[in-house]
Amino acid sequence: MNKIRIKFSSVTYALKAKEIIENNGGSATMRRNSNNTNANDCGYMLVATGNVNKLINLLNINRVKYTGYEMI
Amino acid sequence: MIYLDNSATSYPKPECVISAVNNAFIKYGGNSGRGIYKMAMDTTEQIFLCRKRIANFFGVPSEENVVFTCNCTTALNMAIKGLANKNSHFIISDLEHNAVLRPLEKLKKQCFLDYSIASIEKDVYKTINNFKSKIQDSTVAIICTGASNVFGIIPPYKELARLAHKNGLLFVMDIAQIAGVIPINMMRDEIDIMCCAGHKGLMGPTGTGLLLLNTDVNLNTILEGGTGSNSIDANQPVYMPDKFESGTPNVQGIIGLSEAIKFIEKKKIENIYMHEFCLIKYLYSKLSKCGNIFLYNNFCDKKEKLAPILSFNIKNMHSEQVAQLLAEDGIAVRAGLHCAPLAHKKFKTENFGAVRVSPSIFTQKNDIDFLINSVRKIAKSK
Repeated sequence: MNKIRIKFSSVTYALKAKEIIENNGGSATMRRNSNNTNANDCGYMLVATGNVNKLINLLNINRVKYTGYEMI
Repeated sequence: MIYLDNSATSYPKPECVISAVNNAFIKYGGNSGRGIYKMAMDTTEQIFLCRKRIANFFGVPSEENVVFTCNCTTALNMAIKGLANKNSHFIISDLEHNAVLRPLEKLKKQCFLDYSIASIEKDVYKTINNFKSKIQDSTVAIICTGASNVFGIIPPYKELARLAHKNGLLFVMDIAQIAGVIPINMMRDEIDIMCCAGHKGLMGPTGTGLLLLNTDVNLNTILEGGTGSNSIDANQPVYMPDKFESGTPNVQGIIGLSEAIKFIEKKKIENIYMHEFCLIKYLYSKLSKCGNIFLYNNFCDKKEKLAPILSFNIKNMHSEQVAQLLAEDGIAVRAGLHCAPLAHKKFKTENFGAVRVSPSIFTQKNDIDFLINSVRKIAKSK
């Protein structure tokens, strides 16, 4: 089990991602991004727990747009 | 008061809507999409859930394609001005509201674009041909109402959507008068853009409206500002829904609207339509037997596709005079031109308007009986 930070351009995508991850048995928490001066950043990120590839694949197949992710 | 002006705005609102709005003022007082403290996060989540419910209700492909506006006029302005290019051309029906006509007329006066008006006929093929004959190389979209806000006529919108797509055009619908009364589904009915108010048939609070976009629609913005996202960039975000939602949203109104949709889902939209249509049909059958009364559509003719909106006039009386007398009897109806001069010109009622009756799920048969008696009394006195 890994923890990752996923960044989004819109809080709507972040909440959509949170719901999808939770509906698929994962856990995800919304956090404010402390480094939110980057372009394409909504200021929120998700801290999710699970298999990184599975989590990202889940977002891709559900067409949830994210701007980046990193392992914690 | 007997309230029969639901096409203007619905009244009363369902109890659950009032409770949801009151509760939202207490529980969801934070600004959506900005803060990290619990109340702001709860508010943000509520707005997301509302978006989801609305997307599901209208068959919008994704939550982010639901844009909250302050009314239907704003949504229509966003659609029209967002699609307008220099020398572009639009086709509208002859039943459109001023919310469609005036933005186009202003842009036409500025020599920015042109538009044509196509007539809605009882015959679907004639209607389609009327629209087809107006298509030019520069046409970008067909804009059509879901139902006339004066006469209840429902244009053949599915066929018009097909015509638009066959000719590479977008199909934009003003669903102000059918949302919450007649089922409509963006993906199934192949509609590119839908605009509606939240406070009419949807029974939500005033100050709410929706701009709903299908997947491939690319609109320009007409309003830019703070979205809580991508704040370092001076340019407006390009992604949905932030692109079209600058400024603090009407949180309490949106939560109320979502609750109103939940209420409609529980009641079932088909039942709402049947309830309202039966009342209008009953009203029509009674008024058609009275002397001195002009009616414009036959609500007993199954071939006519009509929304539950009936307009009438009394011989030798201005519609405002009739509405005044009805108001004195405690009946609320709308007279005049209903911001729809095209529809009134079509029915040759532009000089005296019409008295419009629009019930809701809360209207009872005895309310209609009271109206009938009052109208009879006024008509007899003439």
